[in-house]
Order: sequence, then structure tokens, then C-alpha cells
Amino acid sequence: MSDPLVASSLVVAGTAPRARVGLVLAGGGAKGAYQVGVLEYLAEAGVRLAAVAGASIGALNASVVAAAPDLAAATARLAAVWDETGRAAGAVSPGIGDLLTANPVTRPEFLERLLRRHVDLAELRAGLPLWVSVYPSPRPPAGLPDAGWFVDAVLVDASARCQWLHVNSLPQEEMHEALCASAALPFIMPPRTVGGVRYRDGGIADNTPIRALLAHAPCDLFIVVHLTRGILWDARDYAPGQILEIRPEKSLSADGVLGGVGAMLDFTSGRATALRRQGYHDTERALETVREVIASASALRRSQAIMLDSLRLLDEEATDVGPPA
Amino acid sequence: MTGDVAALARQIPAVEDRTLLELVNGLTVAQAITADRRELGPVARIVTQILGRDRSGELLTLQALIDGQRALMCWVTEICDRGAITNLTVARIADHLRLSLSMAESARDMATELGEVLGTRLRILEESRARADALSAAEHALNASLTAWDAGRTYAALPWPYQVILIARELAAGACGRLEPLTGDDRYRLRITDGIVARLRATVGERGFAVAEVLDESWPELRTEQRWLVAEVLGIGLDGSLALPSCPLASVAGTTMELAALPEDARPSSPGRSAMSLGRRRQGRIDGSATFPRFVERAVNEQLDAASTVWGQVERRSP
Repeated sequence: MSDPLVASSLVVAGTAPRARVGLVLAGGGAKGAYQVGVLEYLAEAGVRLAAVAGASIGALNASVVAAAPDLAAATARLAAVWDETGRAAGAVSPGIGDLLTANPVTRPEFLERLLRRHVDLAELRAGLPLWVSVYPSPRPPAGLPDAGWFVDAVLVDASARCQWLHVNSLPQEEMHEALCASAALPFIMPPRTVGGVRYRDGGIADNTPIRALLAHAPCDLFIVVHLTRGILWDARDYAPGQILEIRPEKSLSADGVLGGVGAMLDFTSGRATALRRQGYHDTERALETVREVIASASALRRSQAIMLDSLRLLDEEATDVGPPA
Repeated sequence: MTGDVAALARQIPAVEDRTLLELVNGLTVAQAITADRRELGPVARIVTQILGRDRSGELLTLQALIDGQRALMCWVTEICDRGAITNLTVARIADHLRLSLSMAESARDMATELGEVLGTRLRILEESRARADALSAAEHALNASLTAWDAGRTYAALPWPYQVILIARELAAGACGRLEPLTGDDRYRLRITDGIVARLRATVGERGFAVAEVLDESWPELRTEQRWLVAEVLGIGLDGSLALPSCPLASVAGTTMELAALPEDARPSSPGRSAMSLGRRRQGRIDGSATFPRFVERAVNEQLDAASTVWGQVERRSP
């Protein structure tokens, strides 16, 4: 484990112990258990967060983090959330068909109850600044039934863009709705209304809502946690943000054409435990590598300064002694 | 002097932590996307190619690697520049070391020179001390011997020529005989001679005489056993290896006593004259006449010469 000072200042700023660190948690359904391992390592490394943003399952995890007094407590609470989810999902990974019909975790009421049990809205209001991405979902024309997400994409105004909701500043009941909206999985969860606007899963259009932090909570460093290994996400698009990406070293998707969907809906305990472990190790690898490189550069410069100081003393003493007779 | 190196060091641009972070992050991105592309199945590969995602992934990977190479180049440049600073520092330290060595060499030369001077001074002091000790010992021995002689505790029963020869031998065998080989100074002989002459001048006078006659006047004063004793004390009858180096006067005097100790019927009529003849045959010319001071001087000189010879032999045998 690296020393907390270096790790928290991000390793990056290296010399700034009070560096502001922003955390961005991407969406990915059941793969979100990976982020518990990430947070576990960050907590051990002594990282202190200044703001957090999330999309979809990342928004759910982010809400627990934002409401907790510190990262260690957040990790413990998230572990409880995912344990409960795992127990509800059962021990055996269901087939794709079962996932949509028989999995209790994918029922809207489960998510609602989970959030109410584990996220204290008063704590959340006073907690870390939290932004979640949501996707506007137009109301169906009068007389027509709600056609679902895939129709939203057609009916929504072409100019509509993903939005970020600052959860802490919403009325209390809308805070809950906002979290449910961002986590409203396509096909499965119904849209939610916040401020008179219907929203669905923010991951549809902005699965990595770092722009919310760039716009509203400038930080010295952004730690972005992806749940898709090969995602075509380019940190250079978010300059001047200083970004460290945590990407799964091993793909989180299952094999096969529908492996990605299956991985998003597999909430079993065994899977969650494996993802959590992988998240921990991937984060350790990423942060340790950065820490080593920066510490090495810093050591080189410090040792050179010491060397030059010693040389200066030697020069001064030699001047005092003078040349031999 | 350090200022120039320190100034150079300050001119080296430090690669920002941000750049190093991007280097590491770019590597992570390239690894992840490449692994994903490598593991795509045939259908997924076709789909990603149709959608252009494969091309996008390739470009993102290449850009990450290019950025990483650029960061690496900056970092390597900084390391090389700092390496050059280290080399300059080592060179400066080498200069200091060379200077220190030069100073150490000078100090060593000075120490050697000082050591030689001190050694010479010590040797001189040691020699002076040894000479002083030898002189003191000789003076003490001379006073002791002459005082005992004055008091009649030594040689009192002997005729004056034998007293002179034996007191000279006694002094030469002791510290007085050691003085001359140590100091190389023979002036102490005069002091010995004067000391002996002063004590007998009133008795013997200044007249000249034949040595053989004086010896012949001497031996009748002694009994036969005394004659043998004196002859033996003077080394008569000693094996050649034990005998003192040539002392002509003492040898003639000893031979005189040896002949005088013979039974009357075997004794030559004039042992002194016979001894002188024998001595001349053995050792070449021996001055047969003398004054009293000259007799004493000859006795002292031949005894001290013999002592010097013996000490020289001893020193040559010493390691």
C-alpha cells in the first residue's frame, strides 16, 4: 500500500496534500460491483474525494459514496448494498430470458427500496456534491400508452441532450427520483419525473459524466472508473482535466454475443465478489504505477538537489583551504 | 564554483506530474483497447468494422501511444540532462579529489623531509648523549683508578714501570678504552698520560734511560712468584687467540718478568735486555730509550691502541 499522502494528493499533484479529487463512476448494470473494489482501494490509499458523479449503476454507487462521511464508510455501505442485491438475485446466474422476467433485482420496486434503505437523503444533501446523468424521456402523446425507452429515442427532440442533475440541491423527494431515473435501466425500469421532466437512464447518452464535474466542481484530478474495458473514451476530449482512468484489466463481459448484456444483469453474489476483487486489484495496479513513476521522478530531482547542495559545501570548503603550496 | 552546475540544473525543464500521469494512463488505455480488439469474436469484429468502432479504437490506441512516446521522450530528455549534471558534479568532485591528493602528497613530502631532519637531529643528539655518557664514564673510571692507585690500593708493591703499564692497561680495558672508539677523539690519551705522569714525576724524575736497564732494575724487587704473576697479568703465555693485539712495551716488560722468574741457573744474566732482543725479533723495531713522560705516553698509547682494535673487532662481529 502506498503512503496515503502521495496517493491522495494524487499521486499526481504529488506535492499537494489537499488536492481535490473528483470521482466519476460509469454505468454498467451488475458490473457496478467492480466499483466497490475500486472504492475499497481508494479508501485504503487515503484518497479524499471532493465531488462525485455517476451514471446508471454508477449513480447508485455514487449516491452511497456522497452520503457517507468518508470513503471507508462508503465502502462498507456499498458492500452491504451489493450483498443484499446478491442475496436477492440468488446464487445461480440466470439465463438471458430469466434476467428480464424472473430476476427480482431488475424489478423497479427493488431498486427503490434499496435506495431508501441505504441512502439517507439528509446525509446526501449535506454530503459530497453529487451529479447524475439522466436522459430526457418525452411524454407520449395523449391517448397513447407509454411506449418505452426505444420509442423515447425516436420521439425525443433531436436536439435533446443528456442532462446532469445536482442531486444535493433537489427537493428531498426529487433526490430519490433523480437517483432512480439515472439508474432506470433501459427496457426494465420506468422513467422518473424530476422537476416536471421525465428522465430515463443517463447511461444512454452520457455513461461517463465527467463533464458535470468539469463544469461545476473543478478538481485537481479526476478518477474515472469504467466498466467496459475497451470503451472508446478519450481523456483528451476533457482537457484541461487531469484524468486517471481505471479500466478493467480483464473484460467484465461474459463470453458470447450477448455476454455484455448478461454481465450487466448478473447480480449474483459470486459474480459481485469476483468483480469487487478485480476492481481492487486494477485500481491498486493503476495507482501504484502512477505513484512509482511520479515518486521516481521526484526522487531523482530531490537527490540531485541534495547532490548539488553537498557540492556547494565542498566548493566552499575547498575555497577556504586554497591550493597546495 | 557550484553556481555554474546549479544554474545548469535549474535550466532543465522538469516533466510535469501531469505528463507522467498521462503516460501511465495512455498505456492503460492502449492495453485495454488492444486486449478488447484482440478478443473480439468474428461476428463482433465485423460489426465493429461496419460501425467504424474498430477504426476508432485503433486511432485511440495509436494516439495514446504517440502521446505516451512524447511524454517518454520528455522524461528521457530530463533524465539525460540530469545525468549530465551528475557527470559534471562527479568531474568537479574529481577535481577536488585531485587537489586533495596533491595536498596530501605535499604534506607527505613535507613530513618525509621533516622526518629526515628530525632523524638527523635525533641521531646527533643520540651520538652527543653517547659521547657525553662515554666521557662521563671515562672520567669516572680515570678518577676511580687514579684515586685507588694514589691511595696505594693498587700496584703499590710493583716497580714504577710496571705500575705505569698496568694502570694504563686497567684504564684501557674500561670506560677510558671505550671512549676513543665511540668518539673517534684521541685527546683523552693526553689526559690519562698527564694523570699518570703527575703522580710519579717526583719519584722518577725527568732523566732519560734505557728501557731494558729500567726493567732489569725492576724485577729484583719482586719475588719469583710475583714475577710470574706480573708476567701472566701482562699476557705472557696466553694462547694467540686470547692475546691482546700488539703492545710492544708491555710485551717486553712481561717477557722480562717471565725470564726473571726462571730458576737462577736458567735465567739470563740480564732479563730486560734479553726480553728487548726477543721483542725486537718478534715485533720489529722497539725504541729502547725513553724519558719518563715518553715511557708513560708509549705505555698509554699502545694500551689504548689495543683497546680500539678490540672494540673494532667486537663491533664488526655485532649484528
